Amino acid sequence: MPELPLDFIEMIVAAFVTVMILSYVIGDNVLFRIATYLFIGIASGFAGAIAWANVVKPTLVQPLIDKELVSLFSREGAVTFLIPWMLVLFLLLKLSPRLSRFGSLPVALLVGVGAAVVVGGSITGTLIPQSRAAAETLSQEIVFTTSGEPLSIWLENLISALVLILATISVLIYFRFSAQRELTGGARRSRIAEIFAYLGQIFIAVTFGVMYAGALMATIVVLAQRFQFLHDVLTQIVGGT
Amino acid sequence: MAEIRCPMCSTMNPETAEVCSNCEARLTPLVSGMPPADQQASGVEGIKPAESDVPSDGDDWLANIRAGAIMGSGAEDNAAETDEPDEAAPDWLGRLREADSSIDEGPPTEEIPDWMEDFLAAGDDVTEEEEVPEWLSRVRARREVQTDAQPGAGEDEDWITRLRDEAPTEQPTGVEDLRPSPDVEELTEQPAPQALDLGPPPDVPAPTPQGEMVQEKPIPSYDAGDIAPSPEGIDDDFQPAVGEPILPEEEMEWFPAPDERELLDAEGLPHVPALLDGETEEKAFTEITGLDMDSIELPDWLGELKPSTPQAVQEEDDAADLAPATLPSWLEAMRPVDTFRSEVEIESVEVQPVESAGPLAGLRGVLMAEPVVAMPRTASTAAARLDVTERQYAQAELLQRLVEEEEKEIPPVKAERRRLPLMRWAIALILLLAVILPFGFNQLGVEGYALPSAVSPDFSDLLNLVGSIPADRPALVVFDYTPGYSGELNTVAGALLEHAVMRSLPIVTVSTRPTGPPLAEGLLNQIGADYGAVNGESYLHLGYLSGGPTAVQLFAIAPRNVVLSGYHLPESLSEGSVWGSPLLQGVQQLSDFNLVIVITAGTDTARTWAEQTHPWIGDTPLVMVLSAGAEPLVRPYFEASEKRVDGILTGLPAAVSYRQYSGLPLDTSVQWDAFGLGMLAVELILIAGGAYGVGLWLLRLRER
Repeated sequence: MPELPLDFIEMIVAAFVTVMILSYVIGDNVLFRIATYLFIGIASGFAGAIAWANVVKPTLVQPLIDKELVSLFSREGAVTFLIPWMLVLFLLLKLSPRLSRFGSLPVALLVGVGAAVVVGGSITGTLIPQSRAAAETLSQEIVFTTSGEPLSIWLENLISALVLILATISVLIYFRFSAQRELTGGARRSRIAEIFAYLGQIFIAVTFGVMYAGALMATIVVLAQRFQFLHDVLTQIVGGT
Repeated sequence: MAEIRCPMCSTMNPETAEVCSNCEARLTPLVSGMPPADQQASGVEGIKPAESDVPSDGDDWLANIRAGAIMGSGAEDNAAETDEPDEAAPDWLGRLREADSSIDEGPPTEEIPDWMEDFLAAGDDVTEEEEVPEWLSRVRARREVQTDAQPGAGEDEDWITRLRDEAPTEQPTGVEDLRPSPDVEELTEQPAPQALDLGPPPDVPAPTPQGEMVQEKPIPSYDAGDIAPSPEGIDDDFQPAVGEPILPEEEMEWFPAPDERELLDAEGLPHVPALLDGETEEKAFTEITGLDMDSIELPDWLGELKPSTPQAVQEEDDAADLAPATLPSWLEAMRPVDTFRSEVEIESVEVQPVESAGPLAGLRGVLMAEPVVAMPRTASTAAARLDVTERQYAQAELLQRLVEEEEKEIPPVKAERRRLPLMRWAIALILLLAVILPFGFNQLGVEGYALPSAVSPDFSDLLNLVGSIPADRPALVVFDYTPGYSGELNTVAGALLEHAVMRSLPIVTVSTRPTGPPLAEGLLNQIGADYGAVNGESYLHLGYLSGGPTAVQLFAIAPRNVVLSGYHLPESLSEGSVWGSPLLQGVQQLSDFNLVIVITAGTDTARTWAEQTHPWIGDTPLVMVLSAGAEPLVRPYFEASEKRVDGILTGLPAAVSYRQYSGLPLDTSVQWDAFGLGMLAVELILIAGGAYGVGLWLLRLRER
């Protein structure tokens, strides 16, 4: 009996699991569920193994084995080893209802530092650059034609800049929820704000449409790639190559 | 100079002062030669004792004790029997101690009441002289002297008469005018239990004037203001518990009830002779003796309170002459009007039920234990009037509607007939056919879709960028996508990575997702197999970068401090650190890489890398390989005046174009045809669905 190569077995298993997933076309069934549970279980187990091998072992366990005890209690060791260990132990206290309050310290550290990093990055990396880009849309080069520039190109750039400005302002107005209170108790925005908000709603719908089209394209690409894989497997099985 | 401390405000005053310099309270005690009531202390003003009810200060030993406590002069007579006071203690404290020590001696010789004598006589079973206290010895001696001097005095003469003879003409402090009240007169008509006359009467009516209280309580000649007149010499065990109701029919073990004859004799009755009016008492006694005790079961002390006494009639007349009470104007304004209307009718005493429990058991007309506010009644209509606006009224109606809807029963839903998902099957069939058919184009001789010819200027910039990157330093490739997107992103990123591998550009991979390293390994192994690229020499995997945006920023600042171990390292590096690889020589920060490529399907990941790496990336270009759905939200970073992203590669058309213009082999022709036909099917399905929706809308519009 010829020995089957490992790659061929992997390919067969992958093809079978692909068919199990595609069986969802006929409805929810056992094969689809088995494939789903298999995927989730393997992904979770693999993530745990990666976390142990890449994070926990080299940062918390390996120093205990490799380094001397004196170096661990040095100034550098305290920052890179002792404090992380202390925070980990505090975080484990979250498992106890009585001592869970001690676990709030590492959680607060994580949340606070993470929020500071995200907010700082958003301001310097997104908010300010995007605001400047929107403000510079109607620059002098775009509004006025330059020598030698075709009229159609100038007109295209100008219309594009105006649409960009209009879309930015209208979407911002759409997300402005403050309004005047009416005598009946309700709230209503002004007429101009209503018009711009409607325009902003249109631009948002166009954006979502583009994203949906991109998702459809990605899905069709994945489907085509999977069928090409199945085609290759069948060809290899039938052809014996 | 000696000083006297004011008993009211503790102010020190000269010894000769009669009133306190601070509060003007009287400092001179009113003991010997008791001054009239109008000269007494302010604290007892207004309390006017009856003239004949109060014993003299010489007879009242308790008054002497009190006087001694205040002044000390009255207690000097007894001080000889007490210990010497502490010299360090103040004078007033010493006097108080003397007064207290006098209490221990018991009543003086002259103040033992008759009932106490009888009691001692009846219970004189103490034979050992050494156990008899001194004061009791004096009592016994006095009794013997009186017996010798007045034979038959305890039999023929009433003890009340004797006490009346000894009653002083002046009134002690704190004793009010003690006369029987009309309420007590009514009680004489009520049946009373037999044992009421010996213990605390259980059927004493509700709050009565102080004098009546004293009259009804069988205490000897104590002050009315004193508490619990328990004569010394009587063991406390013989006394009933305070507040414990005494049942009329129940014979008390500690003191059996005497028969009626003994009651009529009234020799040992614990009346309050010192507090009774002499005339009233005498008349009442004579009337009681004429009563038929077989028909009336009242004790003598209640019978004495007959309403026919002239003094009671006089009091009734006085009460009729009283002016009706009037409320002050400010109090009248505060009185609630029409806010409470009691439904409880005040009935006459004869109709009211008899109290069945508690110390007032057996009496009529007592206050109900249940408060009137707890009785059922109708609510006041004009108590408060709500000012309800239309909006509040609408909200109330809405709330009522919601509550009513909650109370409605939901009709059982019939199980819908299971319908086959024909629509789903039809769409799936169309898509499967559209994707599968191109695989037979070659056999069928059908020409597939043409390759994209139009290339955007952005694409050319990316192509030039990757083609011009020097190979002296590695390119960092971030695999931040899940296996679900590998079908798309492996195809798109494969073109870019193949171009880099073809140019022998060293590649270092990292991922912020645990599933990223194996995807990187699989794709680079697949690409490297065609170009002879080997793990550890042409590419290297740093592995998993944990910590999200914070870890990305730390990696951009100092990657060597964040990534300690690699993933799937070659054997030469498996024992050491990943940073010992020759590929990473000279890499200390993110800007040391020649190129950074981020492959992701999510906009958040793309934005994180664009935001967090910008301050430290320097001149290193950042390229995004995106899923088609993420491009619209990442493109602003590319088209901005200050670019955060230097190139974008999105979707299969861009990948095919990249392969086409970079000189890479076009092995995606079948996939390109399947993608083209599948997209056509999707567009037709969308158009059909839109037409179906518009048709339904028009039909409904026509029906309206």
